[in-house]
Amino acid sequence: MPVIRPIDIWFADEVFPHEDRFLAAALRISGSREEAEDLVQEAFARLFTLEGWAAIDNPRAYVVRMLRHIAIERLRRQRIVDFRQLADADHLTLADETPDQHRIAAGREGLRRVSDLIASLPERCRTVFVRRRIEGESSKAIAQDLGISLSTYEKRLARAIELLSRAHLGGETETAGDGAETCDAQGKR
Amino acid sequence: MSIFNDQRHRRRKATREAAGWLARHEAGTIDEARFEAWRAAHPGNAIAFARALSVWRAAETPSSALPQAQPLAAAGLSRRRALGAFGGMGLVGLLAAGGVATRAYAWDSARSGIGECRRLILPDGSRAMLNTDSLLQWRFSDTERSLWIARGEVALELVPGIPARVHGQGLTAALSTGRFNVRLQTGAMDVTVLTGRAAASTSAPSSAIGSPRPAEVAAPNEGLLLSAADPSVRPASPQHMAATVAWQQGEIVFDNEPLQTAVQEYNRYLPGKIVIADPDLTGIPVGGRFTSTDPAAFLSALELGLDIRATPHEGGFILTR
Repeated sequence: MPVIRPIDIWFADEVFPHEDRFLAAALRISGSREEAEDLVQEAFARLFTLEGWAAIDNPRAYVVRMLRHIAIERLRRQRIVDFRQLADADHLTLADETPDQHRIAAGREGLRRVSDLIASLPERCRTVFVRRRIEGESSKAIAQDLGISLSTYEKRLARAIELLSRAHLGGETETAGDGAETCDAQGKR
Repeated sequence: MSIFNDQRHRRRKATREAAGWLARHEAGTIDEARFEAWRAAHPGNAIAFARALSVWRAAETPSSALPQAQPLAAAGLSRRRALGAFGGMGLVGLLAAGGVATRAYAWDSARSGIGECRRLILPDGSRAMLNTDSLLQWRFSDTERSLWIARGEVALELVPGIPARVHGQGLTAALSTGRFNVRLQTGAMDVTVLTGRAAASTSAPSSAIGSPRPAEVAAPNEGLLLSAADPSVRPASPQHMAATVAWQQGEIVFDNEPLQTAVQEYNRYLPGKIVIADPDLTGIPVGGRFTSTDPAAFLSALELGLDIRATPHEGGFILTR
């Protein structure tokens, strides 16, 4: 099995860019941020087990529907049904039919956002990330040029990716702040 | 709480590990067998890896990646937009502009239709608000503040003055200055005190033997229930208080009530009634907050949450499994 499978690429390109939206949707139908994150996580987990993922027409709308189904399943397990949540869950699907103007704009912002995040990476992490990912240099050449071992290079690159994925999860932006020292600390080891 | 913290912690760990694997993949040093074992170990790992891949792939536009001042706080904007799509769905309060008062004998009166809500100002400046399908009559003078609730439910905000007497179902309560919610039930009058005092005033002669009982008085956050039996005072929970006054905002609140009670409550506001066809459904506990005059959200919640179908019938709805 390849390290990067088609479903991973599909997730990366079609699902994660809408994560903000999923989280906002989940927040509307759950009691707390933790619960909302958990809801989104469960939807993702189920998505990974789907055989027919490639046939999903509109992954974003599909995930929002999944969130709603999972929330309903959970509510049904409880004795008391809080109708407010379900009523709102209904609005969610309505809101999801909103026109594509909005969808497109959100997508563009997603891209701009990643470049924002890259700009705010600690310098050492950013350097290896940009040279590898953006400028397409080989890993060996970058390590050599910077005078660091391949394993140090690897750790800096990993740290950059970690910080980016964490920051990408809306609620965890606070972690960007602690990146400055940790990137160095890990990189020197 | 701790469950969620654990989950959050596990997600962080997975995020860190996934970044490591992607970096090793990029550096060409990845051990694929170990990676596959890691990815298969937990669904969260596969998710974290795809997420790492997603930021990796999203960073492909060369010009955008250079560290430079950004014109927009893009993150905040997209969040706000997303929320905006859900905003503006607040429940709309239902407040009629003013009550129509008509003179009948010595009493003035005002009424509200089904699903209507009326506000009016009484002769002394006190305020009254009529809930759905209600009829209030009153007679005010220098020596009298009398209110008669002939039907329904009325909220009162009484300005200082002589004690007001509220009649309903042949029963009478004396109210001080303050805010009250008075609702007629079958054979009973239920007075909830928000501020001020409400006392039972029995016009019936005290029993021939025995000393007169001390009058029952309800204080704020208490309810006074008058009926053919002895009056009683009971504390009202914050939830109960909120549910009691929700109609003034055009809302209806159920706090863990049997479906039958919830439906009866809703029916007060609906010209076309909801009927429970299946007796098995009557006892299912429900909770929630809805717009009182529009049962659509309530009915769709019943269907979604409890698999109860609402079939339109003669302007109303029949509920079945």
